[in-house]
Amino acid sequence: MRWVVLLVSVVSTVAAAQVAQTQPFRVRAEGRDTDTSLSFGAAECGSTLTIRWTYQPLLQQQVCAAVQFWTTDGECADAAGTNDRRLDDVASFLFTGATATAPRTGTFTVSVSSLSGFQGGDAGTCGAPATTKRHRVCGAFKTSNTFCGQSEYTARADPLNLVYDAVPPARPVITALRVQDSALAAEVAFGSDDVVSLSAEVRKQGDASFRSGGSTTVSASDSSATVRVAGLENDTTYDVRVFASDAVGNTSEPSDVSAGTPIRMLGFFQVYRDAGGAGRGCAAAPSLAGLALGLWLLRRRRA
Amino acid sequence: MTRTFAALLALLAGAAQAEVSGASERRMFVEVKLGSYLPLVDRSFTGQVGPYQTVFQNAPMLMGELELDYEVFQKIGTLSFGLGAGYAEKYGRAKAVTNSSGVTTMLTEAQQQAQSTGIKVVPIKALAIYRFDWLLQTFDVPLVPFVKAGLVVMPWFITNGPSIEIAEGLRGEGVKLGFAGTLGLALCLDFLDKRLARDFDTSMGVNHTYLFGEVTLQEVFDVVATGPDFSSRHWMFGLGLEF
Repeated sequence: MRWVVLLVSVVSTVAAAQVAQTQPFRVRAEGRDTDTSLSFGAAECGSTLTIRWTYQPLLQQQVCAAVQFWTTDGECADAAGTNDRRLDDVASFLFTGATATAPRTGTFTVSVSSLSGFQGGDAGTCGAPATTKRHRVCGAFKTSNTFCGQSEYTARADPLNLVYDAVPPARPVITALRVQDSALAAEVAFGSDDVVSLSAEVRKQGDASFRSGGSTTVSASDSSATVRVAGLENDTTYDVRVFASDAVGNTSEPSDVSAGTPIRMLGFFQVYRDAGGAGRGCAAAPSLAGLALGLWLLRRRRA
Repeated sequence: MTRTFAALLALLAGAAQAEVSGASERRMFVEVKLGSYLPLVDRSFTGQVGPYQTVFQNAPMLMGELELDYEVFQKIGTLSFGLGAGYAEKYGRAKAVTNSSGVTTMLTEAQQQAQSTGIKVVPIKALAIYRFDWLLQTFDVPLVPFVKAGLVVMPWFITNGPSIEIAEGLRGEGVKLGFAGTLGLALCLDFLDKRLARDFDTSMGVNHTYLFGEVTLQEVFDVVATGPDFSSRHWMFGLGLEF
């Protein structure tokens, strides 16, 4: 009999260890199943996030208590701490069912402004400027592979990171301002703070204010890009400055101003025409359509 | 002596026929080829530096072309009709500017790097092709001379910076129409490994694999819009599959 108890104990311990290693319990933002981390800027403090929990039991697990969800500024533990914010609890019966391995899922909402990183901002903002703070959405429940009260352990959800990011990208640097026909192309170097776009502002030299002058998107692996400002007058000098923006809408301080003067540039077609190409060579040769029309008219006249 | 030679020839022919008797039916021929294409833009600008030389330093374009033929006659050689389409482009730097006073000046080195100008051509051909492959089919001689003739439709585009160039109110794009004639020589690669060639036919239906070179004379004329002369005399080399 001892051998049987020992064997059951070993088997349940091994099974528990396996479940702990491959715990199929997780929380994710609705519709973004693969993202383990989401960032929010200061402008998004009013938003509400829908969280979807999913639980796919691998074994016949007993759920021994309601499932807790909470947000924390620290690491996820077996239960919510005193400084953590409890979210909806999910009754244990939702986790048990007729089919032992049937998946369970549900949703609850998190108000972004309830996260500590989004609090304490100045008037008109919801979070402290130029700071980054990470929060986690956690979940856990008491479970057992045999009977509740025996060999219980805590199953933790794979957490979702929510990051308050109010740190703007570093100021970009215009490394060169290329002169083009009715345009200026600014070659820009920028830092690696998740910059997703560069935008340019332009003004005629001597004017007081800048106006929007075009933008370009960049990928995460880029460290430099070109922003083209089109629609300018040739032979007029312009000031150009560039801003970098990250994925959550933080915008950098402007780059130093660079000045350039668009000039008319002759492409191959203009060079060809200036050389007299329009009235000679191929251009002077009769077109086949014209030749065919002439022959047809000639035949009609003879007829 | 004559009899002996005739008998030998008949024996060879018979052996060759036996060799190919198990081959699948030949219907199509596909060619993939690359070549150096230098348009004759400057040929009418005698006594002066032409615009192509000015902008592109007379450097040729790399042209790629795909051609698909349908074989209609296979008695003495093979007669086919086919369609081909190619693409070539060339980029250079703007060479001069005109300021508001109408004075043309040369660009500085930095300014020259700022904006490119380019030519893009898309030659599309309808062709009649004759390949003299009787020697290959009959005596296993791996050399196949061929000739092609046909009509060419060639859309062309000239860009200045990111868009089509407009010069004196005219857009730098149009269509040329003309004709092309081609002479070429193909080397049938089956002799390198006849067993592999047979397997290629059995499994994929490819009767013969060729490497070839061809020279093309192409004359094109304006049909839609007036533009530079994109006629040419150019070589191409490629790979051909008959199946």
